[in-house]
Amino acid sequence: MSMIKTEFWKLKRYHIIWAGVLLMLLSVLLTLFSTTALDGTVWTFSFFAEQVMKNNITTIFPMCITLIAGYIINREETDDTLKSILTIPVSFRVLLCGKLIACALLSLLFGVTSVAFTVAASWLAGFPGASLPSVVQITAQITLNCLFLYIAVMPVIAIAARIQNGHLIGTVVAFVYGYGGMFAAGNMALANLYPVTASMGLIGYRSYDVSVHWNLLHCIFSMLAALLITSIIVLTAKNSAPKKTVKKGKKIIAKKGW
Amino acid sequence: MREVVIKTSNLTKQYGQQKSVADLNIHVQKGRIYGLLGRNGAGKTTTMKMLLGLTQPTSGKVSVWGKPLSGNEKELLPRIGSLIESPGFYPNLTGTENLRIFAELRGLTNRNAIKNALDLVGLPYRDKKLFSQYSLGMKQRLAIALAVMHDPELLILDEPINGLDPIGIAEVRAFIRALCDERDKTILISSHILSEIALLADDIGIIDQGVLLEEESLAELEARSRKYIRFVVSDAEQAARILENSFREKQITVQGRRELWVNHMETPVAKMVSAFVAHGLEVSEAATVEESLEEYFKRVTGGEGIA
Repeated sequence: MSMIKTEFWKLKRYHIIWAGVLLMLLSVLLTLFSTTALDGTVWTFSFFAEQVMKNNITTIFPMCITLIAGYIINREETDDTLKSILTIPVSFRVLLCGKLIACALLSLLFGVTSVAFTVAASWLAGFPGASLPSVVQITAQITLNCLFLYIAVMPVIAIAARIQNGHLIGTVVAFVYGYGGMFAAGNMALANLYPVTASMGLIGYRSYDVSVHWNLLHCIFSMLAALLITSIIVLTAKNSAPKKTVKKGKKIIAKKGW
Repeated sequence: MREVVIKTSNLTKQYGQQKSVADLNIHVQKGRIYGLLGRNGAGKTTTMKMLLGLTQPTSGKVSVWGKPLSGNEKELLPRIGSLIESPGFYPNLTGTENLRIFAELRGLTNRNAIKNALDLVGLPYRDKKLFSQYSLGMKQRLAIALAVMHDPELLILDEPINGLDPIGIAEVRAFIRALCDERDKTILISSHILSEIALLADDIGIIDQGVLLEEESLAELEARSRKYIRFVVSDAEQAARILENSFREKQITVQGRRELWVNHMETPVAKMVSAFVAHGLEVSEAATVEESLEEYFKRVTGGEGIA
């Protein structure tokens, strides 16, 4: 508990959190921008929220949470606080576990932020169909979807944590991984197993549509597999920070002769 | 002989072909201040990191309170307070908020622990200044506060006076001395500033290029420092011949045309001066010189002195 509590204390005045909030806003703004297309689509509150979720899943959230979690993990090295933690002693594994759990809670908070922006944008745009039951449903769907998406990208975050400054590479990988959801969604069998799209199945995304057949067991299996892989990566992590990679200096070519 | 708190046995750390620390055997006694003295890059920080389990030794052992550190970290490390290299804290938090995190992780139950630690180092409690806005001296003080906050029995402090102003240095020195004298703490302190170690330490280990060259109490080192008589005369060569003939003095060093050192201290200075005058030499200076710790350091490390 102490580990998780202190992780939240460390976030006070931490600007990277605002980057997450802005990215959540960006997802809503992108959706809002697409509503201006004159393609005959009838925009309602529920449809707008679904499109926000789609943008969250395929474009924004995997990259956003990987970047923020990466910064949160990597900061112990950049702020040079790791030595003080290891000598308490708190092992790197326990520290990493604490951070991953704290990031799971953070992803729920980003989900709530996304809901707030979605409801506000829908109200400002004047989309019909917003009622208390629909807002509650959307709140649960978007928030839980953020948590499941976080679980889906956790292996990427955990691997990146084992590499010095790996969070930037991890962010790129997470973006591609998230975008891959767009292609996986085209095949329901794959969509049920691909962790990014399985997160949609777990919240019943567009389950009212007759062409959408979510297999809940497959989706749960996909999430559990992501959790298992993460656990293995964390448990096999060395009990110290990733080693700094020493940049090789340029070879000095000695002049021959005089 | 007091209880030995830290004992290393042939402690070695090798990076590639380079030995950063080689076969180090240090003994830190309970209730004393041990000063690890060496130039920058001598292996002090690597040694301290190995003593805290932050770096694994290539070979050799570290024992703390008679137990091997490896495998007993959970039992031994909570009894140790440390400051290694530069102070590392969360820049977006205040000093108090930073200490609160480490107090929580240590499971400290004493509510005043943070305030007491900050009071000890002269930093304000619940100040609004963020760590990123601290001066180097304030950062160093906060790092010392972190090291002592949980009231450890052993302190391992790597260059604790770095970045402090002269008054701050004197305060930290007095504070470390008081911790040892009044609270019976055992302290291992490293520094490249010889005068600081000489003012603070009870025992000194001199490390150079990863090798421990000397390990003695300060009193023993001072006693071992060389004493000699220095003369400034009109003709140093002739004076040397007079001493050889009159007193069978062999340990003479002629330093230039007019200066002469006599290492053997048994012949009274007055007799030697009389002999010089009797042979028509002018004696401008005659004094007993005691080698300083810095000169001693230069001699044992075989190189330049340090500040």
